[in-house]
Amino acid sequence: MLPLSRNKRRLYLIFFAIIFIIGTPFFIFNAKGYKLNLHDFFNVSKTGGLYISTDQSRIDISVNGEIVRKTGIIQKSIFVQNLKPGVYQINISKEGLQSWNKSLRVFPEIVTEARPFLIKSEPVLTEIPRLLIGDSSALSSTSRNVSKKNSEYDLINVLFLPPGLKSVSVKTATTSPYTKMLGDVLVKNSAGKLHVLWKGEKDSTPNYFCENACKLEIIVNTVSKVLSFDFFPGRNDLLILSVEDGIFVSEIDDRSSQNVQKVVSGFGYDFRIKDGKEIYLKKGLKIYSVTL
Amino acid sequence: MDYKNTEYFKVGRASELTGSDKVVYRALEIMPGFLSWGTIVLVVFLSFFAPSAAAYFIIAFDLYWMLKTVYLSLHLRHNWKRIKYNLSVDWSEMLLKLKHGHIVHLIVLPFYKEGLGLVEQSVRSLLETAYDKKKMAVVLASEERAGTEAQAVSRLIEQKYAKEFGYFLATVHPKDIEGELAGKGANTTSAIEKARKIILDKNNIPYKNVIVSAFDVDTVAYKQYFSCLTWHFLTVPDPYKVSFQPVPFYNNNIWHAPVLSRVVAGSSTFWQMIQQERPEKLATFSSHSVPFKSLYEIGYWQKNMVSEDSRIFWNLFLAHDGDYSVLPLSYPVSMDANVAPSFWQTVKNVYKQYRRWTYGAENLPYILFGFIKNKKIPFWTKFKISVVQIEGFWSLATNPIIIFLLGWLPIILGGDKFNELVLSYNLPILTRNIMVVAMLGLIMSAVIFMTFLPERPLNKGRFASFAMVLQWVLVPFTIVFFGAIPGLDAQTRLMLGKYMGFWVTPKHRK
Repeated sequence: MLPLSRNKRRLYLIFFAIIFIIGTPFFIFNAKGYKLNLHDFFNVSKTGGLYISTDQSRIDISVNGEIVRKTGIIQKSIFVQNLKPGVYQINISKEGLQSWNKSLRVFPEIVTEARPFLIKSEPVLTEIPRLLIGDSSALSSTSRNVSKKNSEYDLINVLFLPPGLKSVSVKTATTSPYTKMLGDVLVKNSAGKLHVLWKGEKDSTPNYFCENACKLEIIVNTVSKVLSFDFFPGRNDLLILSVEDGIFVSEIDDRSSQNVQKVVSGFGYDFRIKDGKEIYLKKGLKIYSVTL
Repeated sequence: MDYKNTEYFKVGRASELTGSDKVVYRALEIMPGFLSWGTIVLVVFLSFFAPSAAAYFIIAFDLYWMLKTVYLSLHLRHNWKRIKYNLSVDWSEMLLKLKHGHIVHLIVLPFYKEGLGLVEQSVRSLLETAYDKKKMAVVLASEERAGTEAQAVSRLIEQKYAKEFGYFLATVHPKDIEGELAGKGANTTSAIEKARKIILDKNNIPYKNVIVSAFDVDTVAYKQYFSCLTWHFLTVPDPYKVSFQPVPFYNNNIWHAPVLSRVVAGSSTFWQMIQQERPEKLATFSSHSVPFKSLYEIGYWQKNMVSEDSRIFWNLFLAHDGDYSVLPLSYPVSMDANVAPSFWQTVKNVYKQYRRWTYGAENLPYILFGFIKNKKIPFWTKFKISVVQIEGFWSLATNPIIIFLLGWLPIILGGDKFNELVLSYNLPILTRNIMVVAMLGLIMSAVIFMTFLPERPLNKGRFASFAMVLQWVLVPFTIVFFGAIPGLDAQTRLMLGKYMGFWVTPKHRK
């Protein structure tokens, strides 16, 4: 049996060389977002994409009313490409969660990123009791209930005291009515209006500061005056706000109207964040831990 | 003056030359490492300063690699068919049609500290071949530096098997000879020169009738190897301008070798199979056969370097002014896969063995220097071979690293602006997809590998067979850590002038 003939090998080589010569620019332009429209006289158009990153699975992601993907256990973010430049309506929803909507502009060769947030339609408020009821039978012959102070309540309650009155050292008291900075994002409360400024490197400006060009300041729109605010745990693009009629979470991103989701509505609520992680609400003497 | 008579014909390294020759040779030693590191640094540099350009390069490179994989797999598939065909042919019967009684096979088995069992298996395999044993001269070449145990093995084999062959010679290569690098080349050359005087000259055997098979000591010859070799020797137009290369199967102990060792061994076999279909790119490797006359004319193997198995081909090529080639036999011999007492020791040994093999980069300065000096070789021949050799060593050390490790670098180093581009999002997707397509070729690898496996030992269950198929998913890992990195390591040593010695792969059998 003869080895592969020179002619056959040359033929293979030429064939693969042609594929390479044609394929390389095709793959490069394709990767850049150029699309060949077969139905439009082989017209080449530039496209862009959307990258929606969530932190939850089984979320329906719709673009212009069409569900494009459901997030999975591993893949919680999606990349939608081949989108013609223009404005797209994004809707993110899951049963039991408040939905998130945004109009985002897609630019050629660029991926427009969005980081939706979804909190429960009815966040779970768990009361932390002031007093713990214990059984004193171990100490006396007759069994009776004895109330004693709940140290957890006391610890959380300290967070709600005005700064000068705090006697217990708490790791972080994270709220302030005036300014707050997380990373390079600075938020100022100016007469009830929140002004968000990017203080970092220009090249690292978060995508929500930029659309055509990057801006220096974003104003968080609220119907009523912001009484206090803080960064939402783990995010520097979300704020938790206390306004007159409740506690809400708002995104900073103002590329279209800012999504605001309710934590609790009603008068007299205040909130604190402990250790940058846990959210607590207080109304009157009652303190609640919140599961969103 | 013939090239073989020049002072630099058997140069081992730049330090053996003087004046401008030394400078040129040293520059050529630096070249392989410089090109490989230059490519890697360039990819890192581009990823940082021009991430889009780096992404274009990576996409083009991914496509090139995929097409190259498909192209090479066509060669592999053809050679697989050819080996199966050649294994089915009765070469002894084919030989009956040719006058072949005058051909003598001089088989050199250089060894170091390998045990009796291993050496005996190789010698016994010679007895089991179909060729007339009286036309075989076996030279068992031990090393003085291996101590008395090695010589005891030699004596035992001689006592037991010498009378079975036409001629048998046990030699001891003296240690610490000035100008020699302790290794296989020096031992083989010393042994074959003794065999010339003691066997060929004393028995008036014409040199032109002798074919030398320089075998690694774990080489097990298949039944028809010498018949197949003789047939090719007798039918090739000019047999003294040809070396003969079998396909090395690392099968002797494959059922007892750890998974990494199996994949690496199988990949080496596949590479040799591919090269068998591209003889213009083939140099002799590991166990091979050469006409004695051709060897004698150039003074046998070099004694001052590591990769003597491939260097002998380049010696002959330059000595014949480019009119010398390798004839691929597409017939196997089998050797040991790397097995050490522990898994980690095996991993270390596999790495060191590959580093030694890829130190074949030391041939590149020799070839290019020879091309500069030997004006009789046609320019086009020099050009083609230079490109093939440079690309070969460069791709060995860089391609897997670029494909599997650096493909994502523009995303990591490219900065936020680059990471907003559709290109940045598509780069990993495209790379992954191209890799998946390229890796489909592994299915063929698994099939081919299974067809050449020796029978499963009774103490191995069906899972062992299943593992032999599944193991190929490790290729992306082995190709980097037991291919590119030892290759880069070897080239770096050559580049820095930290020349390697001959590391003998320890042979263990479970």
